[in-house]
Amino acid sequence: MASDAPSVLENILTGMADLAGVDGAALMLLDGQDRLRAIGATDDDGVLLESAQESVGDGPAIESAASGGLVAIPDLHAARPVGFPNVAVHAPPVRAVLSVPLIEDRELIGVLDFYARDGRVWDRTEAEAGARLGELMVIVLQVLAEIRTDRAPSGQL
Amino acid sequence: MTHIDPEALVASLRRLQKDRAATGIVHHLERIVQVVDRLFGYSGAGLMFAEEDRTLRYLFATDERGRSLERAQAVTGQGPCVAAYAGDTAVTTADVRADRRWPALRELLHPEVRGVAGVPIRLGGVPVGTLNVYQDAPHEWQESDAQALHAYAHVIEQVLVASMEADEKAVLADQLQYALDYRVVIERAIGYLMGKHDLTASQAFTGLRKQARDSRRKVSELAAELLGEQGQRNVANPDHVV
Repeated sequence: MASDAPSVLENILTGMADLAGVDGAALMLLDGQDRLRAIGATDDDGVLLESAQESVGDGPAIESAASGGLVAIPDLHAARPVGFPNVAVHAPPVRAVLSVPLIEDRELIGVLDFYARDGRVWDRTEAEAGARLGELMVIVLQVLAEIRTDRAPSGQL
Repeated sequence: MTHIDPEALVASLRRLQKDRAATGIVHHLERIVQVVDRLFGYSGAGLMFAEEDRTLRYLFATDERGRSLERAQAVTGQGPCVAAYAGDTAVTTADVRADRRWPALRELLHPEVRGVAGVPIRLGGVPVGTLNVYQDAPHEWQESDAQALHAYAHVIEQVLVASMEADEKAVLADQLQYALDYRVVIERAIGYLMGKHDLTASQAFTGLRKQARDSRRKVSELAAELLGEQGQRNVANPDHVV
């Protein structure tokens, strides 16, 4: 049973990708300097996607963080403004991306990306599911943040 | 090999720790269960956990109907979620009120609890509880429903695993036991509010939860104070709960 935070997070990302019915999920979080940093993904393609967005400073996750809303990209390779070819060139296997802002107490803390290797048009149901999974990820991150500080055996309901 | 950057993760988690008091695993589990019915469009959801003697007790439900489902199973020791736990597998019923496997449930269930599904929650491969969902009308569950619920239960398992990290196991057990024990207090507080204000159980439960949420407090704490079991701190007027 993996119990370190990175393994737990990767398992949860895998579960979320399954729930969303996509090929993978990837996470970017704000660091102490309010920079969006690539944290990780379910596979190498997701790592490429997040690393590319961090280094290029552009992409659906960056746009989602800036707007605070969902960004649905049917094909990352399409020309602007539909796609992000400058990001796609660094993550060629990734086509469709759904970026979900992660909000805690009305403040942005990061972005959760769902991606597919085939182009797809994200429908309303998928977007709503993505938003709910974003809520779930915020809770998971709160748990991971707390486990280093929460030691008192006080029951909570 | 993990695809997660541990240094970046720690840096971001450190940022999340700022200016925020820890709220505890049970509170997080409650919020996670509240997401599941909105994610899948179910009528409600709940969590049951096993005690040391392997008896399932309900920990949380999203509404009064869900509470009746979990309470009925805890009282009778039978039902789809009990079966899911005992058999360590997904168990579904299109209409629990008409299901001959659990005849004792019908009398105890809210009439709007019909289609029910339960999946085990495991730690270390061993079932420790169940994630339960219900529909307010008869519902034919598909294999995809069970797969999705297993995936969601897996997320809950990982949250529990995370909470057990760094010698948290005892704390987790204490918190779950505390929550299970406080179910009784909450039940009594609901009874008090029903009698005091001529409310249904659903109205009393909803009012109690809303007041707790609005005042950013625990339902159990508010319930105990209503009953005068923890003094009167922070309760200006307990009758204003509903």
